[in-house]
Amino acid sequence: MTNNGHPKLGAVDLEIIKASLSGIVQEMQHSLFRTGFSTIVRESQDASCAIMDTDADVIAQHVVLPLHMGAFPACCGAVIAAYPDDIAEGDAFLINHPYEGGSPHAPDVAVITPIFFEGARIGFCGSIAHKSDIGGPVPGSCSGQARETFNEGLHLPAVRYARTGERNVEIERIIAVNSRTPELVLGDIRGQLGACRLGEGRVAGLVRTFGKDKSLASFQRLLDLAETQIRAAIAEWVDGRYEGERFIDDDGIELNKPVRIHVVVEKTGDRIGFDFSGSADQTRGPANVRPPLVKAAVGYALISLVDPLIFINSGIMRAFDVKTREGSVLNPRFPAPVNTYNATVHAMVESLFAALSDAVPSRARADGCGSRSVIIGGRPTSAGKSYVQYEIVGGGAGGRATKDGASGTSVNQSNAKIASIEIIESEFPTRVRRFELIEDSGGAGTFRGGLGILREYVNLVDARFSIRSSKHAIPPLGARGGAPGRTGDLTVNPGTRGETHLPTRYADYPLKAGDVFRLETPGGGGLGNPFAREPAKVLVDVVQGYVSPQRAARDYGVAVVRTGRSWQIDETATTRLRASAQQNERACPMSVNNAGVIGLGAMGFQMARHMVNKGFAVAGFDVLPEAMTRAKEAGVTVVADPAAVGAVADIVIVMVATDAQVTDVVTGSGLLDKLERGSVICISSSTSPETARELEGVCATRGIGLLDTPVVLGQEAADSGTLTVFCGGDASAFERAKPVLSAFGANVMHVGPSGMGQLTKTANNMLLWACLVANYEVLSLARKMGADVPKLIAALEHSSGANWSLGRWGRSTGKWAEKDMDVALELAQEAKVPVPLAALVDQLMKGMTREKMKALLS
Amino acid sequence: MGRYRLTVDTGGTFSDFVYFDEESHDIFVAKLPSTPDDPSHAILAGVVVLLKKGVLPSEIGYFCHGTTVGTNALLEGKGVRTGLLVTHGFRGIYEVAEQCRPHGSAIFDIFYDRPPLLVPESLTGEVVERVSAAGEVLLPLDEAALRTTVRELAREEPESIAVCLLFSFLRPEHEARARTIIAEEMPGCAVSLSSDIAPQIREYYRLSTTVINAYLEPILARYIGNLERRLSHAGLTTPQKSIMQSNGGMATFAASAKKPVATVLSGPAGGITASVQTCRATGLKNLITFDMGGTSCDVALIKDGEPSVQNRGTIEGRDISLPMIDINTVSAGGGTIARVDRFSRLEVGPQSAGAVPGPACYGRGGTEPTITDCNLVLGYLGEDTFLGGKMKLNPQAAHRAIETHVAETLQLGVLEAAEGIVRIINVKMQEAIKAISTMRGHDVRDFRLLAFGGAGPLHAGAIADELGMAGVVVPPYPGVYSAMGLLMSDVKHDYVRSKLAGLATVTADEIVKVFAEMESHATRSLRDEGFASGHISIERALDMRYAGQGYEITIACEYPVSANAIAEMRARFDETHRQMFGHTAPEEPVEIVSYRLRGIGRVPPVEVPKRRREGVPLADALRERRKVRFNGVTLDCPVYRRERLDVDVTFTGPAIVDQLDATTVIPPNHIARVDEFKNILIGLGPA
Repeated sequence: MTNNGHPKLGAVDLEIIKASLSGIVQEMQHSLFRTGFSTIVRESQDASCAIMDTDADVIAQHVVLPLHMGAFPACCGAVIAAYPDDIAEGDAFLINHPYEGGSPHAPDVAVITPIFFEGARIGFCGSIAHKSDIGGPVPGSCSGQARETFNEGLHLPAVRYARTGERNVEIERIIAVNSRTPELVLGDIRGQLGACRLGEGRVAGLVRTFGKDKSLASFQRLLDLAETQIRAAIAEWVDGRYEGERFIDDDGIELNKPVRIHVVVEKTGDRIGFDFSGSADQTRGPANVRPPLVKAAVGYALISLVDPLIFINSGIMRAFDVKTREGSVLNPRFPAPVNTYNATVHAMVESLFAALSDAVPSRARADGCGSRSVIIGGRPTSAGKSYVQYEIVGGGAGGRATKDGASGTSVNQSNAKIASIEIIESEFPTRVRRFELIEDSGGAGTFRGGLGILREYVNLVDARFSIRSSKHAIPPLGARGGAPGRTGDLTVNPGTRGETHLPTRYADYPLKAGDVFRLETPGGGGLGNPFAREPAKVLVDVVQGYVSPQRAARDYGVAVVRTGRSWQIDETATTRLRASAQQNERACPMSVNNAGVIGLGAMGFQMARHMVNKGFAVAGFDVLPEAMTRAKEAGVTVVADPAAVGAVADIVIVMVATDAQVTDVVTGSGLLDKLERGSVICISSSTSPETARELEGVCATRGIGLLDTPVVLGQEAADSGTLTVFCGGDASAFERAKPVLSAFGANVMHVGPSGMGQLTKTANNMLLWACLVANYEVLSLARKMGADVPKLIAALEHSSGANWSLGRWGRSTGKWAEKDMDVALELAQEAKVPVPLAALVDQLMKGMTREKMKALLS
Repeated sequence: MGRYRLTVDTGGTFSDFVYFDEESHDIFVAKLPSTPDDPSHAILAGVVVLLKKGVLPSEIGYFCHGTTVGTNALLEGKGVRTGLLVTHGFRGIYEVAEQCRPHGSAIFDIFYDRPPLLVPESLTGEVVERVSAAGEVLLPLDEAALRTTVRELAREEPESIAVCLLFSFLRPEHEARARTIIAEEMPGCAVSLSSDIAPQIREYYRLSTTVINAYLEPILARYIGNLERRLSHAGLTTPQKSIMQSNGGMATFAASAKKPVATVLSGPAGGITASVQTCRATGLKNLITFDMGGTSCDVALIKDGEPSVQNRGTIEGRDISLPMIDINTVSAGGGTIARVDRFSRLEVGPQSAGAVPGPACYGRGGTEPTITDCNLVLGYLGEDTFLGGKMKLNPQAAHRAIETHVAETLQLGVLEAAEGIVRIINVKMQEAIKAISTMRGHDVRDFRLLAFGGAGPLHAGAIADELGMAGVVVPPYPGVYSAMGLLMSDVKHDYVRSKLAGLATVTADEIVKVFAEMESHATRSLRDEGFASGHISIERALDMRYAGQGYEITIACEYPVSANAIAEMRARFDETHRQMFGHTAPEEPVEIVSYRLRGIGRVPPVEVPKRRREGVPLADALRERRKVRFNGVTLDCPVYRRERLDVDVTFTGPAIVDQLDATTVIPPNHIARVDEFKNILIGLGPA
């Protein structure tokens, strides 16, 4: 790399220019905080300032908001594109359009001004600040129920806001009439403009001091250096392909439908690429984010993994490639809504950390709590004005490579202060009843997840309540064998008959005077095997009330007992707990101990038996007394009804005969009322994918996971505990249930969202029965021609015509073929896909018996 | 009052002493090595210096001390085992703190942690009680339950307990009962009540302040008790013994022992107090103080003779909600290290070589180049005159450090490299100065840079020049300037009480009532400390805000209060808001959030003696000439002895002025003049 022709003075001047740029953006930021009008700018400091070069690359940024690293170049680039030949000294531009520029959402308005030096444009100053209201259906402009950007407030593409120093009053008037808080919005925009003007002057001064050529070369050198620094770090990581995936609870419109964020990272030498194409399709609700933010999220993760102290500029962004799929949640088509993007960004950051934790193990980290805000409006306040009570509440951070996660904190790119209780009560008709960390909410791990926060309020005057949260259904996941953190929850009138749980994103719930609402925020995921945590640390956790003695024993295998007034470790019991855990390690690394089986028939019995053998406490129920007796003899605790199974089990396997029975067990037996939040029901019966999806929705409202987990390979594999299990549904529910499923399944695979397990099984069955009729046809012909069928089969087994039923010829029955083919044909009809072969197989299988198949062998 | 005043500022390496003779107005200073294990050893040694001059201990009428005993105990986590009592259901307040991380790199830093809790959850007890925002008791104090909780806590054997209940600033009775019950159940245990320490709204900051106080109280009480005994033993029996606080005022030994949290940010306060005196003496109203030492540089702004004050501050991430002088600190000092990273970037700081191993030129094992090494190589520092020649510097070692670690890698000459390093550190300090001045709406051209600390006068000229400031002031004893400030400080007790009220609806009587209670408290304390009524003054102020906003502005409150005065305060609030934030909202309702009262016990002022010109020619002050590097050119430069510079003598840079405790650099074309207080005034034009 060249030193810009100044090999000698380069290093000193560069460092001085760098320190000056830091000072300039800081001064711009101070100016904005000082002159900005709204409390959002001044107190939440939801604003940042930057200096860009003529290519719209950020040279220096005062980073308050990491996401603006991506927003600035996109906004500035949009201005250049819109006014290629018409940007003059003294001009200023506005842009807040997520699709035209890079604003995360409409309230984030960017002001961009060109910097001129001796008549030539040498760069831009920019400022992005969150506006208190930019119009749209709800105050604050962030509607969780928006279905298009048109529901998200006033959008400005790149428009000229000032010409040679004169502000365009028409634009100000348009903005003013579209906002519920016009003075605040215009005050802030003018403050932003002032900050940009200040930046222009100081950058020009700097250029004057060092000369134009040297200054501009130094700016580029700073970009190069940032890129070099990131690449040098990446080069030290292990080459490979890494994958990460996270799910957001829902998009605010389609409740109970998790949204997948998926990344494939390819790393070779100092090159690294991030492919997010596998992420879900764009959502109907406002969970979408535009590609500039995807880039910023990657930048955020890389800075965290490389060096938090790196000088922030666009050079960092040059060190990697990002790919998103058009029409996906990370590259939505206009006019898909985007306003509540934050949960998606958290999921992106976490999928990145998940993917890269093997590449950069020293900075591995489990998931944190995400972010959330509660908004209470529609009431008078002590000042007589209808201000809105707005609170942003953190939770637990994930366990880290060398230490526990922090409790009660903001995580990732979110960083808001918690509101003072005394201020809230002084201003609003609200009383806070409790403010505590939640015991046992941190995911167990060698390094424990941080604890979530509990805030409980009494609402004193009728009000309207909204929540924009995350991770109420899908918990923060652990890493490297650590357990997930506890999910969040919002309960209205807890412990009363009217107790209600609100979904993750919910707007305008009518709160009555006297209603109590309790916000519980998620704990962080744990990192590493909890049984490897030093017992002394577990003891401290119990003493400090972070972990209960019960969970210390269950999750960590540490027996903490109270003798007199002090807690101590029972060494013998701990050794025993940890030894037995080691035996069961394959079975229960996630520290689920209690499981249940409903339906103890031929398959269900074997499943329960294997679970008992792997060390689970298994509760079981069946309608047939003899099935119960048999199960009891095998060590299953038999109980009176399905609800009783739910009362003790964390993971429940349902293995009954028909769709109707499955639905009845899940929704009509009281099972859901008894299960704890975070439990998982696994439907191992064959059902239609649709049944699985419907039931998952029902369960999700209770915070309970539901997987469709049909099994294949038949009774023999069930007997030997070597079934293959296809699992559809939520990834975190899968992680939780997997140890139990692994007790009877040699291959337990997550194949996609709810219903996909059943679909996979149907696909398998179509192939199975098609092969079987083909085998029959072939073997019949061969036999007629005088072949020795067993020898023929033995030979074919090593050929390209080999298949599973051929190798087991005579041992299979065609017993379930009719049901299976009905399901297949139904699906095909629904999907309007012609399946002529399946129709033929269906007919041919109707005449098939085990005897007929066996006969070919003799 | 006795004839002598004695002040000591105990630092990590040196204890600085200033002696003042009330009769002759003579001031002399001493610098002795500190004794960190027991600072009182060094203090007594400093007393002996005075006694050896034939002064009787009984003639010492005034003793004032700046100490970092509390600060160090806090920074090193060596406070006492402390318990905490909170309102039932609210144990989250302390551990969640502000919830957010500091702005900047912490947001990217996976391993960032808040400072560890001073009180663990296991030593936190809950108190069944609840007071509303209106100050009504919603739930009476359950005394029996409290007693049980205190007994349980007692088994954990804390030495000190903090009590912070919700809205206790409105209704302190529950906390007061808690104190009584603790005294009954745990005799001897120290108690800090939030309603005493910081009775203001916002529970977390009040709690944090109270916990820090509880954590340090037994430490400071022991230290002060011990010091008091030793001083008495040495015959120094004056009751006028006090300790510097973060607000720039003094508090008596007894008051400080009860409120140690008020001392933990007092380190730089002495220098600011001395600067305020310099304002008064010289008539220079606007100064930016520039205190550069071994590891850090503190800057503060004095406008119209008043230092800028803030009502909340932090120390290593811990929040303290007390009035304190507003100081901006950057990692830039003589020991700051320069390094070249693997990308050939020259980084200066934030690492520091500190006192040990220290700069390479100290010869104590340091090998990396520091700012002091650069100043030596550039000729700003003399190898034989550092600390009055007591410490010889090794220019070869400095040269070698710069050469091997910086110059060779960057293909620079050693002098070029040294100059570059100094330029970089100067830019960082300039930005720190801008942060407290231009970034807050002040114009630096109206301010002079008052340079002190061991390294301040070395860098001030170049920095003031770059910033376009009005000039530089170097006081007579820049190396012991903080101790000088202790000599000139009044006793100041700050009181605060939060009580929300709309400014439009509050009556003058209501305001007077709140202040009257605080005032009687303040007056009583000062009288008990020996101040006559004539020496007591009271200042009142109100923290106000636009209703619903989350920050307050402190506005002085004229007395007596009238309806007119309230309207005036409203107008002043709007105007101040405009000055600070660029806009105002006269239509918006304004609220009073807190009442602030400061009780001042005026110590008789120290008359800084004016000197007359003695007629010593400048040539007589010349020590030597040496080669000094400025802007890439090596110049032959006179070096003057500070003590020989006569009043009114004027000279043009380049020049160096040496003295025992500091070295002043006058850059080329700057004009220096010695004023009648023996300050060196440096400017670009005639000073």
